[in-house]
Amino acid sequence: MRTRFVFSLFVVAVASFGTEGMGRAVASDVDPQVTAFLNRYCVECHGATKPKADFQIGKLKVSTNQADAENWQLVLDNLLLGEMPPKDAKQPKPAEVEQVTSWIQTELSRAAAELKGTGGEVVLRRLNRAEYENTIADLFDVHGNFAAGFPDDLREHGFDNNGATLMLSAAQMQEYMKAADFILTRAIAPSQRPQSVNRTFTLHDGNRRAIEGARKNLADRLAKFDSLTPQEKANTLKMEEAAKANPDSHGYRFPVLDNGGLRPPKPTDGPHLDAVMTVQNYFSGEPQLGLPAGRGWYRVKAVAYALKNDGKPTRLKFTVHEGYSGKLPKAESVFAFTDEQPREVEARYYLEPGDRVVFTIMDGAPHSQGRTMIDQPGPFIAIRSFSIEGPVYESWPPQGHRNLFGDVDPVKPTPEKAAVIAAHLAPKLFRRPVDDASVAKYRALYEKFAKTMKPDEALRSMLTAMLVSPRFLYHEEPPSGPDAFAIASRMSYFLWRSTPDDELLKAAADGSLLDPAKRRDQAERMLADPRSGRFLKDFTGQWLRVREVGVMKPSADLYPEYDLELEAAMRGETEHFIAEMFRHDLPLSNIIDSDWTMLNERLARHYKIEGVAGPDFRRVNLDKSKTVRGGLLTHASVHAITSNGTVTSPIARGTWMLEKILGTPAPPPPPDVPAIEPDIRGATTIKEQLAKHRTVASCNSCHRKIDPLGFALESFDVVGGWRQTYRALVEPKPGARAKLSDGPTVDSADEWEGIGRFNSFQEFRELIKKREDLVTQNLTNQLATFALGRAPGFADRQSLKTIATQVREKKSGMKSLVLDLVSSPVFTNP
Amino acid sequence: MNPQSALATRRTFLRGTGVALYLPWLESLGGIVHAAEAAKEPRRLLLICLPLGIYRDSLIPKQSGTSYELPEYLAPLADLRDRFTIVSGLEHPGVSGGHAAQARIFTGVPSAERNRRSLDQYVAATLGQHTRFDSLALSAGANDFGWTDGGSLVPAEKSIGDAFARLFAEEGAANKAKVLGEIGRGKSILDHVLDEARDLESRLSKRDREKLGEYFETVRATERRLVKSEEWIHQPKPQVNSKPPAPFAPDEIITNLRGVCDLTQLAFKTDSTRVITFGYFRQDTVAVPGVNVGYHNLSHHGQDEGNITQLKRVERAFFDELKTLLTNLQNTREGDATLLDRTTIVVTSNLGSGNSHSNKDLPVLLAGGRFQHGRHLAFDPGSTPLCNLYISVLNQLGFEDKSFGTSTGALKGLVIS
Repeated sequence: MRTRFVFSLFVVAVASFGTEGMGRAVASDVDPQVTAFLNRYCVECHGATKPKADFQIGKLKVSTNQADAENWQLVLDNLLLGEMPPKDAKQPKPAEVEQVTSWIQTELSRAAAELKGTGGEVVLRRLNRAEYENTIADLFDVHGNFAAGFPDDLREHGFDNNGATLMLSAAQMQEYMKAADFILTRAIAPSQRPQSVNRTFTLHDGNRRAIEGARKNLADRLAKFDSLTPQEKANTLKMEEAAKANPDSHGYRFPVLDNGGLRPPKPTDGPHLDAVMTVQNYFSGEPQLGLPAGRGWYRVKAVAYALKNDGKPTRLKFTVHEGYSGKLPKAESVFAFTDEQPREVEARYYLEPGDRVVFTIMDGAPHSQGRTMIDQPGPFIAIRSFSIEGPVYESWPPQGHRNLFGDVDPVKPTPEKAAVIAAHLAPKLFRRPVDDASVAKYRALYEKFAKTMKPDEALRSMLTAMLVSPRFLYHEEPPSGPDAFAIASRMSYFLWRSTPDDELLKAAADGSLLDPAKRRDQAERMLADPRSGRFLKDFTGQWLRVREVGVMKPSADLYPEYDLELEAAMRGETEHFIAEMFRHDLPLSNIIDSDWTMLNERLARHYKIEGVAGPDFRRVNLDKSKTVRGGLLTHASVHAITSNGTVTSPIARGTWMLEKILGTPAPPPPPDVPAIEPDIRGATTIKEQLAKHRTVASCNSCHRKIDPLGFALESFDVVGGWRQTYRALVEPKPGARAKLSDGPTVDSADEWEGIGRFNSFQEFRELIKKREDLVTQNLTNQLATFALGRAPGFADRQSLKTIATQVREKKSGMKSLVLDLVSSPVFTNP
Repeated sequence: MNPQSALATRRTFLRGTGVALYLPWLESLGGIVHAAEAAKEPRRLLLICLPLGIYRDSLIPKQSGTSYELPEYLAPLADLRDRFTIVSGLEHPGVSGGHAAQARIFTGVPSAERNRRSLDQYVAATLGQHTRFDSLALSAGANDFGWTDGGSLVPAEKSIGDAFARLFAEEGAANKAKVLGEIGRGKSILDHVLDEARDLESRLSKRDREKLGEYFETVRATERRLVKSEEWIHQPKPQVNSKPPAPFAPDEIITNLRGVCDLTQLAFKTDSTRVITFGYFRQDTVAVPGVNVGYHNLSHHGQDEGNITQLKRVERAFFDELKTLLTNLQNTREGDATLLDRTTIVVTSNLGSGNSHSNKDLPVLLAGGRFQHGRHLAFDPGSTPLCNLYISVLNQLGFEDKSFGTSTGALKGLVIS
């Protein structure tokens, strides 16, 4: 047991020992109630003079050395075991003991976490994969999976941007070199501006081509009829018959909307008639638009509307595929049409040569044999046109090229040009001013390369060196703490997950970022920029772990309702929920309970909430008398990531809630405790199993804190559905599909120690409102951890407490919290 | 024996086995291998992890000692009984967290500390000097097992096809020249950034300087890699008769495993590397006959009969392929021994039970090398670190290390002959 607490307590010693007698025997940073307890029950024997067992309460202090942690552990063990105070001494009430042991446990695990990180200071941070990609995208407008080969960034304290954990290896260095090649190939614009091409495609083109193709095919077959096989002859005769029956369309493709009715197409149909998709997925293809002329941004559009859809949305999807690689699409957009008003929809994609844009009709009747497409029931989608245009440049040379070279024309480089380019690029790339000596070294490097390479290659090699420079890959911060430039980087990698823009660097150069008020103004500007969306998504995904939704897929037998659309919608709800809270600065109490949530049709169906149509997420007001939903704890994403594919885990859920919502993580299980063997045969419920577990004292000390929180969520199944009973599988016959049946009844009642009893999730949610202080403090700490790339240290604690208290008192929200954080001293601590 | 004649003898001999190949570890007289090294017999290490656990009753015999009854999974390995040892009851002290322990299976670093230095990478630093590739991280669904001293994950090969090409596809002359150019350029770039890092160092706090140390180390390690590839680029790659592996669907776990095993054998046979790791894993459904539940879900079987039956099918498929691999290694002669004699194979898992996610009582199958095999070494759970086995493995490979990770000594009862 003891070995797991070989940590020290806090980082900074603020020890002022009780030397003026026994009244104040304990260090001042110990919780006053704990101090009172120790003074009342312990000091008499363990005081400064002749302490029993040579153990002095006065030596209990909050510091960095291991012995201190051991001492606290000793106190904890003796209190838990009831060995101290001795039976003949004054006895504390159980509640008093509980308060002290809780405090010690919390502090020990928090201290452990703090010290496992960076010791409370920001450690030289490397750009992680996402930051590297975003930086490259923002500087050079280069996109693609150039970072796919980077080794994964490890997570610490829940986030993958922790300075101490971001390591580097030779494999990664070689990947950086490869990535630099990829980036430069794309960032350097060709000497001639590529011709932009704009192609439009209507389904008439497709119809005409199909009809002409069919006609020609029949003519060819008839011409060599005698040489055909008997089967081919039979087919040809059938084709001839069909053509005679329908001479215009030859077995038509897409019906045409003519005077409000549908009819087969004719080769003579003009483009004023729209073709109509009646069959789901029938048209899933790439119209003959030709491949992109060159890599770059393309504008892809469609003009379409819904028909016979009864108010239901009909959806059109664009996907971008890498050739015919069979890989998942690299980009995807879904558009919904709800009425007969033609509408133009547009998406922008960065395409590489060989990429294909594919259009898919997502709704409509399934294709059925023996029915013409005209007979199908709705919904239909009428397509006027598809078009693709590009490469589109906002300017020439493109911004990325100009960021790279400034005003220098990189054609026919010279050492002088190389020096000007380095002087221009280095401050952008390294996020701070660069002295002449550094520039001279880059020039010398160019000259060295130019001896053996063509000037172009020498220049590229010099740029490659800049892209693998430690000054690019790491955030430089002076030893005394962050200067204005380091603050600029802290801000931009926090709020944009990317490099500072020119305005922010300017605010660094004139020193205004050192002024908290001006820093706040900059942060507000940054949050209004679309790049802040990356922060919200990244933070939400990691803080609540919702980016792990789908890693562990639910068993298809037990949860047949689960599909990829639901999976994406689960993640979507939480991401949109946090974004909505952020955008409107909604009170943080919404985390615990809200009378609204973010839904799309798929998720609303899952939650049995009516009146939500279409794939887009929108804010939906909840009728709380009809639905349990509201607040993060009701999000299916949360239930999914705290389950394995077959069963929910109260331990995983309790641990998640302690860590992610309340900010009071449980220590890891002691080494000598047997794990629970899950049993889904239906004889015992998880609650019964855990009850057994909790009869073991060493388990109980933590599990009485973890399990009740998990049981509170037990009414939510593996995929976040509401349940009264567990699902069980009827023993299948060999080879047959298992059948679902009702298992034992779910029991979510328990007692949350020190807070109260609850009989249902709803009652629990009322209880957690009493601990809004913890929830607010936790979110504050989580944001600080993400912002600084380290766990908050002792020195930050007071400021973070002040921020959280203010936000709660003012009933303001996440946006205020972020702005307060950026303008607080925590943000500029070393 | 001088190296030339050793070369001649071995090459003639190996040609006789039907596979035309070169032995770069002998042939490269250009400073890669010293004559004294060349005369030493090569020793190899293969580490395999099944991150979802191995169903205990089907692998761990009920009896300990030599006359144990072969459990279900070992039945196909009956002929090789004296070439492997089963070890039960080992664990990594202080390593916990269920799946999180996966990355620590070959490092043994307690969960409270930052992960670093895996057995394969440690061994590869020495054994890798003789071969084109220091080590090879393959994947039949998983490989996050290799860790550098600095605490970075060694990325696994993206596909078996690519790995095959790296090992055996000869580059054209033009491409070689290009690669050489790249290497030269890379070295100059590294020189430059090293200089820049020194400048930077002087402007940083003590803590940041320590952290920047890893950049210096990385640059030096990258340089070493470049130097090595420069030396090896002039050596022809071994020619093998096998075709590159065909692509397969993600759920074809057995095809994947077979490809990995074949490549392992080829890589050892051609002495392209002496250290290989791989994992057998899939989150979702696998194309194994009679299996329709995802592999990961099966491992959480919840004592359900149906789940256990299906789980065993997936795991049994692994042991069938393992049998083929061991047999092939045994049938491949190298000098006066077989490849199996010169290859130590450790098959294990970070989970003692997939169902409970317990990281205790880890299953181990140890095969090949110069151990006295044929027994089940049963330890009392909690008594012995898995790293003790690693010490025995290291000693057997010729390393004189007395400690590795959390070891307390060599594994008792495991004898090197």
